[in-house]
Amino acid sequence: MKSIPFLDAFSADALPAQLRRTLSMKAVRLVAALREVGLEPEVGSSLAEYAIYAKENSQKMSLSPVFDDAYHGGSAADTMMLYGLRNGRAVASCGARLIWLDTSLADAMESQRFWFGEDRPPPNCEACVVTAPSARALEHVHIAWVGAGSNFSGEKGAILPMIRLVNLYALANWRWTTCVGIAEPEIAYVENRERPFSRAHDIYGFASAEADIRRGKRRFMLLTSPRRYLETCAMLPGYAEVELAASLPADRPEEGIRRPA
Amino acid sequence: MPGVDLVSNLRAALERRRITFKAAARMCGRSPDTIQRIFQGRTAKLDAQDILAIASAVAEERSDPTERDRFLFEVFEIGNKTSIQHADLDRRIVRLERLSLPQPTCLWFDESGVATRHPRTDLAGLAYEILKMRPGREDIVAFACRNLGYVGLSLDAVGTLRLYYEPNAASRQALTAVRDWLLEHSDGVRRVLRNRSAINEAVDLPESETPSDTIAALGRRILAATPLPPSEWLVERRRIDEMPDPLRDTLRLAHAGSSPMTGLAAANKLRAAHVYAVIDGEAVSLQMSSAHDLPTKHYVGRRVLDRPTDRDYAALVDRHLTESLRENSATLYKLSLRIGGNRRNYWRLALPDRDSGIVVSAPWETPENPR
Repeated sequence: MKSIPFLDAFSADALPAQLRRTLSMKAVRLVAALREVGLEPEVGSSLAEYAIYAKENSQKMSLSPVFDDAYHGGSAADTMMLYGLRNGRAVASCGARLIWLDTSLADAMESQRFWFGEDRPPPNCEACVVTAPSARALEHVHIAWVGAGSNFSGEKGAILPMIRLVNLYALANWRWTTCVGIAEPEIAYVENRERPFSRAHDIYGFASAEADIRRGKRRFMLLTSPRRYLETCAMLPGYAEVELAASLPADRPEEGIRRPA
Repeated sequence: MPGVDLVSNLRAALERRRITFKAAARMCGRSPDTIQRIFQGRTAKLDAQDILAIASAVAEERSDPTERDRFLFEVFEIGNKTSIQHADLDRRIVRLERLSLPQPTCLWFDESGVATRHPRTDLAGLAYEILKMRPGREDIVAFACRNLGYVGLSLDAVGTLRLYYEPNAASRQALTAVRDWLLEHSDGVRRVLRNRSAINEAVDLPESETPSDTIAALGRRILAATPLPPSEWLVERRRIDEMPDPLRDTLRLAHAGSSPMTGLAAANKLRAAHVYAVIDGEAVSLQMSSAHDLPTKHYVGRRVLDRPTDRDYAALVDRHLTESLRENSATLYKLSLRIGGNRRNYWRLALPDRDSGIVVSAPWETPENPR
């Protein structure tokens, strides 16, 4: 696997000094946290390599078309795949892609172009229906699409710091207006019954979760974060503490919310 | 013995006599590896007694007692050989417990200019310690320079200083702290290699430069990185007889002295008088009065133009001092400055001494300051 250490790939030099230093220190803390559990975070940009990793882990995950090399060619300019390596072998992953929206996100999804690209006709798949309001509002902008989170069994603790590292990388290395992802409702919802969609907030660090994106029989929530929101969360002291939530309520930003064990 | 490169001199003295480092090691009872490491700058543990032993062995080998002293003269760069008695030379050498080679060290200056040092040259290892993380495969030196705005510095045993920083990322405080460090330690530095980004030392090494070049370059970088407050200066050159009353006496007394500096010292009338030298057309601060509670170490030994703050004022002072020396006459400026809506009026007096290239300067605020 052709990958480079996360800190070598992380480059925040286009950001204002204060933001650059703070994000960089958060990245250092998260990398240190991963090393403490024996994982080495490395970054690749090849979707073909990610496909090999996903195949090895196929019992647990299905390959999202956005990260599928059969439909999209990834380059370092628009694709980052973060792997957690244990003894040189990738055991966890998370990724992001920088995508330009010619039309609204909803149109792109419903026409299947978003999932399967424009170079070839979409496969004979089930229709996509989008009702999430934000998907209609997002158009003519760059979005950072975050996904491809998976881990081998026994590596559960890796995902949370890796998602935050992906967010930091996207903030530092790319220019975009909104960070977008999808998650099945039961995944986005659980964690804390008092706070709906707390996993989307606390683990994935998104600002909102909206219904719905339906692809065939499968139903997803649309998760979005404006860039400013993600920047604010990343600047908060608790962002690099994995036991604290990634996104924080405005009334207690200094404390953070301790996630249920 | 500052300024004397003993290792290079020893090496040259041996080469002139066609003595190999293995033979030299035998002469002083050390292992050849140790001598080789000394010549490669990997260790500074060369004792003066070793040089003495080699010199004596050379003299014995050649059956020429004067050869010992010739050898020592060459190593210690003592030019006027006849004026030094052999006993003096022995005393000098024995007094040297260790040679004055710089101790290898490395430092990181963080974004606030705080230095963390380590008596070794593993800058990456020190970065991991500061960042409290286990070492990994990444180029942590480049990361710290590029993203954290740190400035790294490593000095090896032969006086080569490597400076690692990213010009657009390094903070003003870090650059200022590095310049302060260089001002204090430049004696032990023979040459400086500035690595803008330390990703690959072998590829990215620029040409070496002297410590003073680096200090000047850092000064320019600090100025470029300093956001300047908007200021509005009005400068008028005035005749000396327009000077306010008690100060006119001071000036008369100053002229009565053998030089402006001694005259002012004798007069002891001005609350603050600073001393500058004009070198290559630029004013360098030699002594700051304590009257303004200015941090002396930030100013003394520096070009006036390199001041990290008050860029306009620095340019004005530089012009005043160089003009005064060029004209070789006392010059008086009246300055009017608007700061935050308030106008302040100042006088500046410059008393030159063309023979020495020294200018004494005294600024003071006038009592009448309209709001």
